[in-house]
Amino acid sequence: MKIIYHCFGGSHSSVTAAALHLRILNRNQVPTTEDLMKIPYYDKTNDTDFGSIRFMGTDELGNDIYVLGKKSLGNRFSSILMGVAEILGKQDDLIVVNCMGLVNWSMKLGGFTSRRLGLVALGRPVVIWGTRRAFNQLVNLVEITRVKAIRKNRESQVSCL
Amino acid sequence: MNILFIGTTGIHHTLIAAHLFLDHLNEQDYDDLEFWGDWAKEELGSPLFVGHDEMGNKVYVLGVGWDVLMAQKSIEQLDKLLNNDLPDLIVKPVFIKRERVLLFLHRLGRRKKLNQLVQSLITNLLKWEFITIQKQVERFREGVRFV
Repeated sequence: MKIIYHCFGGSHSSVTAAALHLRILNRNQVPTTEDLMKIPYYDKTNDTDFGSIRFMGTDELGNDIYVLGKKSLGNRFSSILMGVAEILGKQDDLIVVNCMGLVNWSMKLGGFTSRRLGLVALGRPVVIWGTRRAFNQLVNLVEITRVKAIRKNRESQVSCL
Repeated sequence: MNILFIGTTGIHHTLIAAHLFLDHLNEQDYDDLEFWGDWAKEELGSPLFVGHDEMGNKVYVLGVGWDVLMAQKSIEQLDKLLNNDLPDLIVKPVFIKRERVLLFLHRLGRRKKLNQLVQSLITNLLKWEFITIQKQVERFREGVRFV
């Protein structure tokens, strides 16, 4: 199973969600700045990364976890990717998760300042503050996704039998 | 193999390109095309099946919004991911010269009251763009023969 977390830049909320999924971050503890900066791709992407599906790791159940920045394509992008998977006959092998709903104003402002304007020293503390505020909601989203993945894996195993 | 024509919208110029590719379009009369101006289908966000070509490939159209090339990149990468680097999909982006005008009209057309007016404006706009679309399809057809 492939799980793709996506957000505007593929740099903050989706990357944090993927790190939670992979247990890089402890779900019971709000991460520190150091914890967040240790995550691959966290606040480190540039314009060429838009649209790239980047591998983050494999979870303990064998699901491959990816992140993606899709600019302002919105929730429609989930439908687009799932629709493409469907015509390839692989819809049971894919879960697409939109993280945009959990992006707060601090993350938007900090992310824009750090990534788009290149003012890292100014934007990074703001986006980190925003990520810490959105952390519990991200934990929730990831746990729901993990359950979905387990169910989907079971369903595809049953249909194989 | 699947062939996917993508563009800012999937129910206008992209649809014309797909039908030209399938040799289904003889005249510039678009109103009878399946999915033509079908905003409800477009909103679903899934590829729309148009038909099979002479090689048996399935041909689809899809509207992806303003950043067509970024969407192409994601879709091609997804195809590789899901098919273990053995792609089963050819993605062909379709462009017109008045892309911004089309996108503006397309967004306007979501309002039911304006839908009919917008639809006829888009039809006329794409009649001017027909040669541009035709050229892209011809070039693509040449390329596909070697795949």
